[in-house]
Amino acid sequence: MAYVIAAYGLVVTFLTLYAWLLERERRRLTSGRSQSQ
Amino acid sequence: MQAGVLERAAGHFRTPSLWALLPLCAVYGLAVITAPEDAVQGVIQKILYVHPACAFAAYLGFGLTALGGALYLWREDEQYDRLALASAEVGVVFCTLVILTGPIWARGTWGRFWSWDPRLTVTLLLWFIYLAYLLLRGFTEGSARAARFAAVYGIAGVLAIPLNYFAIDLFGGRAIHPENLGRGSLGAGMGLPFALGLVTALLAFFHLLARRLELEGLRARNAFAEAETQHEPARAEGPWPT
Repeated sequence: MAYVIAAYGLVVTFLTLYAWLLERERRRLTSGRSQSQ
Repeated sequence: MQAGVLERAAGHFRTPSLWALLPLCAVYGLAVITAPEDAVQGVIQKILYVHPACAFAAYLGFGLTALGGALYLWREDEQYDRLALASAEVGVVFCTLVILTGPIWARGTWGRFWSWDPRLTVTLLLWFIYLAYLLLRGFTEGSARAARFAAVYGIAGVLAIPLNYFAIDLFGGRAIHPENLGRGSLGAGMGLPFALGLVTALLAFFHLLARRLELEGLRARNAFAEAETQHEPARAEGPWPT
C-alpha cells in the first residue's frame, strides 16, 4: 500500500508544484508588465 | 504585439479547466480506492491507473511539439513555436512522472527499481530527447534560426513515440515490462478507474499547457513592450541638438 500512496503522492505533489511555479511566473510577468507601463 | 489566437484561447481555458479538474480528481481518487485488488499483483497494481495515463499525456505533449514545429515551419507564425515549446515542457513533466512512478511499481513487483528493459530504456531515451529540446531552447532564447532547428528536432524526436509504444512487441523475448493494454485485458471493475485516470491526466495536461502557453504569450508581449520603450525616448526627444 505504501508504494501506491508514494506513486499517487508523487504525481499530485509534482503537478501541484509545477502549477504553482507557473502561477508564480505568471504573476511576476504580469507585475513586470504593469510596472513598465 | 497582440497575443496569438492560441494564447488567448489558453487564457479562457485556464480557470474552467481547473474547476473541472478538482471534482474529477475526487471522483478518480474514489474510483481508485474502491477498485478491486488484482488477484496476482495485489494492491500495487493500482499504480496502473496513473502510470500509463501519464505516459499518454507525455505522448500528447511530444506530439503537439512536433505539430507546433511543423506549423511554425509552414506558416512562420511564432505562436506555433511557442506552442511547441510549451507542449515539450509539459510533456517532459508527465514523462518524468512516468519515469518516477514506473520504478515504484517495479520495486514492489520485480523487487528492484530499474531494469534495462526495452520499454524502460526507450522511455528514458524519449525523456532525454525532449529534455535536450528544452535545454536547446533555453540556451538559444529568441533566435529564429534556433526555433527552426528546434522545430525540425521536435519533429524528428516524435519518431521515438511509436518505438516506445511498440518496444515490447519489437523486442519480444527480452521485454519484462507488462504488455500494452488491449481490449478486455483489464479485470472486472478496473475499466472505470483506468478511464477516469486517463481523462484526469489529459485534462491536467491541457490545463497546465494552457497556463504554460499563457506565460509564453506574456513573455512575448513583455519583450515587445520593452523593445518599444527602448525606441520611444529617441522618438520623443527628436533630433539631438547640434
